[in-house]
Amino acid sequence: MANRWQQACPGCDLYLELEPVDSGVLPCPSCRMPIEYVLLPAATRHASGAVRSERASEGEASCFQHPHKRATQECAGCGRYLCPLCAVSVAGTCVCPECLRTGKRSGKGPIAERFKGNRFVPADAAMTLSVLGLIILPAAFLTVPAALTLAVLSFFREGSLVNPRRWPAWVAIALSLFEAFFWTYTLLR
Amino acid sequence: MTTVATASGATSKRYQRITRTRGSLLTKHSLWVGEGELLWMDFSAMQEHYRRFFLEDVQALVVYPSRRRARLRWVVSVLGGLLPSLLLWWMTSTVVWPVAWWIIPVSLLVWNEWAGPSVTVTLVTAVQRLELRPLKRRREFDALRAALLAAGALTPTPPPAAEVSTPPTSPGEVGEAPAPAP
Repeated sequence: MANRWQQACPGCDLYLELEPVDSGVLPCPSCRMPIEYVLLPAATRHASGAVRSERASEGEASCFQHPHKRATQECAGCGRYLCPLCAVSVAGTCVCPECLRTGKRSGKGPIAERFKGNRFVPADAAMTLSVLGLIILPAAFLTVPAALTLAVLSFFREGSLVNPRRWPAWVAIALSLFEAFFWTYTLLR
Repeated sequence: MTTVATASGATSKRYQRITRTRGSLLTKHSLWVGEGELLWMDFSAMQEHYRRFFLEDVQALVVYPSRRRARLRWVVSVLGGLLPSLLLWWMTSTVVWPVAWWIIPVSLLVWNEWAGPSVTVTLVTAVQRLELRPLKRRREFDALRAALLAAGALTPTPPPAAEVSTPPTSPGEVGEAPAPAP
């Protein structure tokens, strides 16, 4: 059975109680606004919230943390046997909570990569600084060296997670060199 | 799809762009689909911030039409076209510049129509409802659906009839939350 939802119609604010059984368009009964639903498998999953672990019989592999529970999976990190309660699915693999914790803390590897919340992008930072130097001219004395450093650094460090591009670094180098020549020429004249 | 090289040189993740990057010089956002996840990326000056929605937790995407395209028509026509051309006409006292100026708003209006109908998409999980702000157009939503289909997160099914609660019988019922289900 699908989960029941309460959805306010965006057209007339009428509260609809829905039980969508499949993807499709449900027009609002009041204003006829077409509200389209695209359901994913989680919508039809039972929302009991309980993770069932079965008791291990004699001779069966048991969970490392819960010796009385039957092991159903193996941790990809340490190889320990896990019951459904302890098994955490991350990046297509199954790990135990301890490996998940250490993997997140280390900042490296697929687990840390999977949960990384932010990333410093040197190429974009360099471009932002070089543009800032153009807008606030006196700031160029600080932004030009910083932008050049970051632009060079971006060729050796990992950049954007989703869009690893190099052109902001090249733009930053070009703008910074232009600003440097401009200020050198202006001051020497 | 883009391939990301890690510090060790190995390619680790693949993300498919769903929406173009929207925002200003310092703050931008976009939506990507990766392996088993939907990634909302916010960019602020020097850092990328990620919000991940694992597809196994996402229950549904709710889509309904928005007024963004109609609003853009008015904004571009009046604020981007009419007012500047009147100002140019007042300043130059010729019709050449005001007429020439219309190239810009007309181009924007053509782009606005070409981009297709605008929609609002809400992501539903068991614990949250979130408007996917980077996703503004119907064609972007179609791209998202195609990416989810390709990722195996959706099963292609014909649109069936589904149950809707009883429509309100009096105007007083409109806008009121229903009684909790037994």
